[in-house]
Amino acid sequence: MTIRAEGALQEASDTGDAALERFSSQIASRHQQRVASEGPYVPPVSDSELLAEAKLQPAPTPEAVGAAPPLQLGDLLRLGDAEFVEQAYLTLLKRPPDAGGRAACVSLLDLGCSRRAVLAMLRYSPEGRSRAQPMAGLIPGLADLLAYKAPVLGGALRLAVNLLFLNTWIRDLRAAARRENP
Amino acid sequence: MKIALFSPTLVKADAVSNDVFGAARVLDSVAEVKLFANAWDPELNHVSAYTEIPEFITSPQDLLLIHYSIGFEPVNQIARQLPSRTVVKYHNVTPPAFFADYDQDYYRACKGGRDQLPSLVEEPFEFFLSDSDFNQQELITLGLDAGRSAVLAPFHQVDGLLETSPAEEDGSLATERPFTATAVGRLAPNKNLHYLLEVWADFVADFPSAELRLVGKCDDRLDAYRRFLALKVDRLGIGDSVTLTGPVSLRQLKAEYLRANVLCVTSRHEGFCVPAIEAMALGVPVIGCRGTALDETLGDAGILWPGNDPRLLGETLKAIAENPELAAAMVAKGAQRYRASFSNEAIAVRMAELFNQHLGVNFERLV
Repeated sequence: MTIRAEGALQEASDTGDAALERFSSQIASRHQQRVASEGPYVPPVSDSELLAEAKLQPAPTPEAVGAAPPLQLGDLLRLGDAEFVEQAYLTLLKRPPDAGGRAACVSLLDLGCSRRAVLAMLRYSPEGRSRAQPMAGLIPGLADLLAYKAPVLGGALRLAVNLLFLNTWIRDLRAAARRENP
Repeated sequence: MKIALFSPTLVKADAVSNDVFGAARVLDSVAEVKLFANAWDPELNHVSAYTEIPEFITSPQDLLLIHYSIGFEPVNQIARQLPSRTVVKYHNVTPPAFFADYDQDYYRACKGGRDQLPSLVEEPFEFFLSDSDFNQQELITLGLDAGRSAVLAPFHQVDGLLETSPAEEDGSLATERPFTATAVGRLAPNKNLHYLLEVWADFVADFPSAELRLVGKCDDRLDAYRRFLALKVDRLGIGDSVTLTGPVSLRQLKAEYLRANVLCVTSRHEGFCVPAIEAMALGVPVIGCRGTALDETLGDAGILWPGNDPRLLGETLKAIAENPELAAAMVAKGAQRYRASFSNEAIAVRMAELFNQHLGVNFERLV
């Protein structure tokens, strides 16, 4: 512990309250004198104009900050399953998959779910919508995903989907997709 | 007894994660504790996926403690189906309006988190803890029964800050150094740093050798806010006295506090304000704007003014720079307040009392 920190943890003096009160009164008084002589506060610059100017300045590109451009659908479809799940998360959710998410995605792929469907599931999840990473070509994947709710695909797959808490998610996806793709 | 602690994200050097880790250390004395998350730092190898909560929590005597800083509905679904009791720790969600001009990702995420609050308080959960009364009142206003609610300050990294050695660079901790004001936290619109720049312009006109340091990272998605701050620094003509440090390590943060003569908190929204207790513990006077949870965190240990005239804080900076006895009184009051209410030990005792009283968890050793 440093000398400064030790000093901070010494017993507070009883004079502290009085000192703070006295100085606060002095500060308020000096401020009142300035208001009387200078008038009400007028901002020296306009925040709204500066903000508009800031928005017109280009944001740093991913290349400028040393990041690779995001992968697109074609890039992802060429990868092996494990790498596909890893890169799908990094591209659409900007983070590595957690253990539960990785397992869920791999299970869906094992059950025959298309890669486009897994991508659509991630892209239109609440987290994916908040990231809003553009990716063309996901509409067929969304259709694939919705098809997993159809009875013709059999109980095992539906059960797996249910077990993975996707029922509510899929309802949510439908609404999100309708909003983003009217 | 088993206790599961969940947070959507668990990473190092994050206020909510620090609260989770601190609570886990305390609860570990009375129960088998396990951490769960949706995303976490790979180095935290003791964290499990939230989907594994049902395998861990199996008895009505067990507890699930959900840390709510942004909504995560899947874990609420799991909680409804568990045999155990569920407790929510509410850390607040920044109102989305602060981000509307800057980034739609942030806007949507915060809006989603706040939109879920009315249904959160209607969940059949056992108890709701809040970092501050400011946060608690938000939930009560939404319909939460006050009898199922209490305030518990968050655990934090101050012990680590006190123990670590500061990273000293370029003689920054030399005995003779300019008066330094510091703001700590991410560069985000709700932190109202653009107001602090006007405070600084008022002050530095009389103290031209003084320095203002804005300590914290800026998310790429909020780069428009960083550009706005840079433009404002330029137009106010204060570029020679303002430094944006970017992200800092724990050792660098310690050095920033040690070189600081005052911490400035001008936020328009704070659910607790961890930097204020870090400053109180490390002997730095705190000043700022009223109207957030900072009011109750700082109490009478600092000086707060309405955020409608930067000259008020400008005059306060001048008073601190000119009167060492004022700074000394604020440091003494802050240290006293930190020890009495916000040290990790004090928070642990309060937690034990609440868990004893409301959840029947036997914490005799701590109380």
